[in-house]
This record gives sequence, structure tokens and C-alpha cells, in this order.
Amino acid sequence: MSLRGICQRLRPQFSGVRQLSQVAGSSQQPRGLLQVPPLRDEEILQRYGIPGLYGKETFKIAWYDWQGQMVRRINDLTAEGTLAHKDPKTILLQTARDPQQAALFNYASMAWNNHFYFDKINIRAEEGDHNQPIPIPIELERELVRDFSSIESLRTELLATAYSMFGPGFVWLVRSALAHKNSTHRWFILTTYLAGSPLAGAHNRLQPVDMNTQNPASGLTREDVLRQSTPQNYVGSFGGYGPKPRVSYGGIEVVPCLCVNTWQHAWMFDWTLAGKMEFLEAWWERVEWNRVAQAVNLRTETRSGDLAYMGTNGST
Amino acid sequence: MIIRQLALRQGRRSLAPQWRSARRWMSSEVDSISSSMQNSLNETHSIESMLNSLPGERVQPIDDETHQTADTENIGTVFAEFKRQRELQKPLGAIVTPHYEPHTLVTNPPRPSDISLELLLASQAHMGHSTSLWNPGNARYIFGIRDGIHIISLDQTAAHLRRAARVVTAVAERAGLILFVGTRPGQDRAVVKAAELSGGCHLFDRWVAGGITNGTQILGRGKVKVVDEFDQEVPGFEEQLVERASVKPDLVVCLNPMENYVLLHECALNNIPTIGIIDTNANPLWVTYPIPANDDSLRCVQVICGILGRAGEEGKTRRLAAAQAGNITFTPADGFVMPGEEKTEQQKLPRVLKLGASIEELEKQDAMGNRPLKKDPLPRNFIEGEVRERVPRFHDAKKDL
Repeated sequence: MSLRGICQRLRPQFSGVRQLSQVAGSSQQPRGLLQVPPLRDEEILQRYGIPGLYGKETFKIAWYDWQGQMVRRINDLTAEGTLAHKDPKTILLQTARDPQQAALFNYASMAWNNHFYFDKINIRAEEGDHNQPIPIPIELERELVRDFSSIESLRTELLATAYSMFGPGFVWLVRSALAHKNSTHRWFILTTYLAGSPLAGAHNRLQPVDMNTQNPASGLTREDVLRQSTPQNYVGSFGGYGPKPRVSYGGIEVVPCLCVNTWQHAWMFDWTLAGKMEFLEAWWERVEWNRVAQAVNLRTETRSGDLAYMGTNGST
Repeated sequence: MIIRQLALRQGRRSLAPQWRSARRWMSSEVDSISSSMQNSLNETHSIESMLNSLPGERVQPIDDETHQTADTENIGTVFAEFKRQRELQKPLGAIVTPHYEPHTLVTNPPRPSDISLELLLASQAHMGHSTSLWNPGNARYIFGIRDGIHIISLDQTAAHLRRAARVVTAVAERAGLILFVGTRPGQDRAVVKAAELSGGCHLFDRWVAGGITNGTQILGRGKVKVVDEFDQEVPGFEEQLVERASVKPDLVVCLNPMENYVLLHECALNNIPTIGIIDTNANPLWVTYPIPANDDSLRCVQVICGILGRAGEEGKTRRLAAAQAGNITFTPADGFVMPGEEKTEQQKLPRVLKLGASIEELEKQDAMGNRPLKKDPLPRNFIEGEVRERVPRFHDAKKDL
């Protein structure tokens, strides 16, 4: 029997195994139950980075090294426990309300956020003008224009929010189920500092604001202070023996659709510390809008009439 | 119920008088089901109207026929969208490497194609008993000794397991009834799953002695049914089934032969083939197709039982596919007539020797109604092209009598 035959038999098919990618030329995959997921077009990424956004070395730091470190820390903290085999989303939802496991929440949420960020970037490098932006699908554009009055104003608001955030974090474009302007949905821009999560089940770890600016002296009203410190409603629980609510107090269900990573290690090597705005503008050109539409089940047809190119399915 | 909990929110005091008046006209006797449902519906509607009269959120009315609210139809769409988004969001962040999950051995058992030495080793199939407790009949299955116990040779285990899987597949393909037996604690789930996959029967409690040899008494109270080639029950055979109070399995898979020797003996008396997990202290002659493995490890037993269940599923699938194509892969049960039809001459006359009859008359009976005997093909000699006709040494001995 050949070595390859032995290696193939080492993977029992009945457990539904997926082929793991080889992370060639970079730091080794962390040993343990979780590993760095593959992105689409790994060879292009390792050779060129993301054209127009990340150089090869910066991409290695921003993705392979950073994600590898997050996954390694998750493995260390979950080893031989009940969360040992869980994916990062499950881990972050289970640890969001436990202050003893705040570190594990941070790593799991950071891993999830970082992968979400790179998943929504157009990684492909076409011949010629590789900075050709992907057009926004019609249905998505209609919904965004309804809630932000134009795509330009959405862009301005999103980038200005990201620029003015001091410190690391993420800025999200989310859609909620709140009715607004003859629609059953409303789009928001959300900020999460550090490793805050936009998921409703982890609302108490949303971390939407810089707490250094949240005090009455900085202009916060008494209602705002109360909203941040006390439960707002008891939806889903009746009395001491009621069921535990799946949504944290004050949280609403949002579907995160797009995010930009403002952690400094992601952009400062290529764009310098003074070039944050240029980085954000370059990122906007590289957004893969058909995946944004896919997140909320909107059709990916663009104005030209063709289905926008989805890219190879590497990570979902 | 949601409406009652909303009522609690408003406070018990405001409801107390209404509760008492509602209870007064509710019957205290045991009603029929329909009238008690009608009572609860009336109660619901009265609470709805009372709550809607209070300021605040209005409650949705419940439809009398379907017991749904206006939102119920939307729940399916919302759930489908929730599942779709979960499929997109769940894999983000990291890949979970393949690992052992015990429940998957029962919920998604391995297949005969998954048999490998690594799987058997990880399932602790190689661990036998103490060397002083061995049965020397198992010497051929033993690899060696370590830490005072016999180590079962896993290539033997794999080979015997593959053979047993082929037997199970073949029996299931020919519509044989397979009985999966596992009476130790924890084996019930695996046994039930295997029986479910192969369309057979399961047993996880004690085997009652006489279930096969004395089936009419022990299992006579059970239901026997006639099924067609698609495993659908065919009604109308109740009268004909009166004489057949029980059935016998066509194959028995036993996960712990040490405790079920009575069952295995009954099977042997009735020519029913058996498959069993034979540990180093078990008697390999008790079963027809032994599988040398560790019967004390639940993981090993679940792997083996799962593989045999999957083998039965494969045979069943083939049989049903052939039935769809119009091919019957099994011999139909003997002695039945379709309901409404008459018994044929052949079935009416019992084939017993009547008073005054002789063997010649039976032979004439054979010649009248039976199918012609299939002649054996001429034996072909290994010498190329040569065919030799077999000449009987004592020819026509009967005619001389």
C-alpha cells in the first residue's frame, strides 16, 4: 500500500471531510482543531497580495499571520473544553456574556470579523486595468439609495466614519429588519471598536463607541448613559424562570453585509500612518458588491444585464 | 401559551374575576376531545378579546381551523432565510478540522467502503481479553500479546468485516429479514439505526428463549404482514396469515454473542446464518460469519453495527431499484394466494403420501403439475475443448426394482 493510500484512508469519509488547503510559503498552520481558512485564489494572493490595496508582505501580515495568530489563540484557550470543536461564530456567541472568557471572545470575534472583511474584497487581478471596480447590483443599489439618498453619500459617510475612528476596529454596513420608508428593511452603518461583533447574539459586546468619549462631560445625555448601562427591555423572558433571550438586551437583529478593517497593521505598512484616507478610498474601489448582495439574498444582476462575476467559491 | 403569558404581564389581579367566571362555565367532567378543544378555543378567544380591550399591543387572533395566527405563514420564509444566512456566516473565521464526534457513529454511520485499519484501531477493535481467558479457537485471529491481553489482528478483522458486509448486502438485496441484536447497555441506538437502514428488525432487550423454535407461542401476539416488492403492505391476507403467527429472520447479526448464546443456538437449529462480533474469549463456532473484534468497546460495536447497517441499506436500495425497473430479486413467499383468487389444484392437494398410495403415484403427481427439474449442465473437463458426458456407474437401478 502506498503512502498516499494510507494518507487517504486516514480521513474517514463518513465524517464529511473538506479538503484543507495548503498554506504554502507562509507561517505554518496552527496545530489544533481550528485552522486558517482558505481564501479564493490563494496563489494570486501569495504572489501579488491584493492589487491596488495590499502588497504581498502586508497581505501576509494582515491575513496569514494575523488570522493564524487568532486561530492559534482560540485553540489554546478552547483546548480540552466544551468549545474545543466549535467554529468561531459559535464560540463568540457563547462567550459574549461571560466576562471570564472575554479573551476568548476577542480572538473568536476578531477571526470572524477579519475573514468577513477579506471575503467581501474583490481579490481577482484582471489583465490591464486591475482596479476596475465591480458594479453594484441593481436591487442592492436601489435599497442603498433609498436609505442613504445616493451611493456617493453612503461612500462619504462610511469612509468618514472609518477615518474618524481612533484606534483599531471595524466599520460595518448592516441591514436590519426595521421598517423604514415603505420598506421592511433599513440599512445602517455600524462601528465596532477592537473586536466588537455586530451579531445580535453578542450585542453586549458590540463595542460601538470609544468609551473614553462616553461620559456626561463629552455631551452625552442622561438617557444615553442609562441606555448603555441598564437593560432596555425584557423581551423573551418572563420572570425568573423564563427562557434565556437569544438576543442580548437592547440588541436588534442585523445582517452584517460589508465591513472595513481599520486595524493599523492592515494598512499602515503600505499606505503609511498618514495615508488612512487613501487606503479607505482604495478599499471602496475593491468592494465585491455581488457578495454583499448575496448576504441579504438580493439578486446579483447589474445594470449591464449580466450576472456579476461571483468569483471562485473558496470560503463559503 | 403566548396569550396566557401576555395576560400574566398585565397582572394577575386584573384577570382574577375573568378567570373565575371562565372557570365556572367550564365543565369539570371529562369531555370528548372535540368538545374540550372547543372549550379551549372559546377560552382563547375570550382572553384575546379581553386583552385587545386593554391599552397597548393588540394580540393576533387565532384561526379556529388551523390554530395559526397571521404571522405563522411568514415563519417558514423567515426560517429559510435564517438558515441561508447561517450557512454563509458559520464557516467564517476558521476551518474546524475533522475530529471524532461520537454521535456521528450512530447518526451517520460509516460505510463498508470506509473500512480501514486506522478506523478499526481508533475504535479500539484490536483489544482482546486477558490471555488467561482466551478461547484457543481464536488463535488465528490473534496478533500477539501486550500488557497481559491478546491483541486481535486488525487485517483479519477488516477482512471478516468486509465479508460480513457482503453477506448482509446480499441478504438485503434478496429481501431477507435481518435481525440486529445488541443487548448490552448503550448498544440500543446503533442497533435500531442499523435495522432502520436495512429495513430489518432490532432487539436490544433480552432475547426470550423460544422466539424461533417456539415462535407461535412466544411471538404469536405480534403482527405479521404481507408486503409487495416496494415494501408496501398489501391488505387482504388476514385470513391466510392466521396460520403463520410469527416469522423467522433470514440473517441474525449479534453484537454480543457471549450473552446471546440461546438465540444463536436457535438460529443454528433452524439453519439461520448468523454474524457475530467474536472477542478473544468467545467461541467462534457459535456464529456462521465471525468478526474478530472487541465487543466490550461501545465505539467499536457502533462502528461495526453501523457498517453492517449501511451494507443492508445498500442491498435494500438495489432491491428497490430493481423492483422499480420491474425485476424481482427475491423468491416470493410460498403458499399464498392473492385475496379474491381461488387456490390452484396444486395448492389444494397436500403433498403427503395417502393411505394406499405409492412412490410411483407421487412421481406421477410431480410429472403432472410441477415445473420440470432443471438439469445440471454437463461437467466440462479442464482439457481444452473436451466435454465428457458423465456415465453413471449404476445405471437405472430403480427400474430394476
